[in-house]
Amino acid sequence: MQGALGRLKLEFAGKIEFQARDFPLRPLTFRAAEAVRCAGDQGKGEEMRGMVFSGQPAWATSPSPDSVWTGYARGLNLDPEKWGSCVRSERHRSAIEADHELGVRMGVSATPTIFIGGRKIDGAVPFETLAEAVRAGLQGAPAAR
Amino acid sequence: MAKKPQQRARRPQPPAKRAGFSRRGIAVAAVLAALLLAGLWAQFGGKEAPSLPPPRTADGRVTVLEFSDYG
Repeated sequence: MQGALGRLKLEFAGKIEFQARDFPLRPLTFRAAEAVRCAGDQGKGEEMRGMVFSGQPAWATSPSPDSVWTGYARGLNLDPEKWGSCVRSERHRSAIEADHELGVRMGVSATPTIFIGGRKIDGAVPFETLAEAVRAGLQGAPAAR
Repeated sequence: MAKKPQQRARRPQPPAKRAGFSRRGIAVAAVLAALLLAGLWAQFGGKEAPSLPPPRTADGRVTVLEFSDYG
């Protein structure tokens, strides 16, 4: 899914406004979201997000997922003190909870769920399905004010 | 000689009770109500519900929202 979304961002650059929202379903993935947001504070959110997604099989089965994420943080040359303190203090907890609350209000119950121009797309779908929805959105209702 | 009827000493009458609640009761109830309201505000009123993003931005771009879990 991340591959299809990445391609969408490239092919529709300037035509879409992409927003990644957290919808953690477990305490562990809530912490993963925190780790990514804390990397975002140092300008490496996208990179960390990619690493956490692709490394999911490793950290999800690790007895110490935090140490795996710390390894990612080091690899991205983040300030380890700042990043660690951010994660430990759960600085972004309320923002993650707000994302989750928004998802619930929009009818999200599983992930991934994508909304393109207000149209809900459940589950992992191929790039072409996403692209079609974007094209429909571009031809659809006028812009919001 | 006829015995004088004994007069009972009059007891002082207790002040008439007013209908309703005592001032102390009202004060306690007010404090409890304030605590309850503060608790409800902290639980439900302290933060605004996030607003739903519009389908398109002001400059015409289509909004793409991804809700994901890292699991």
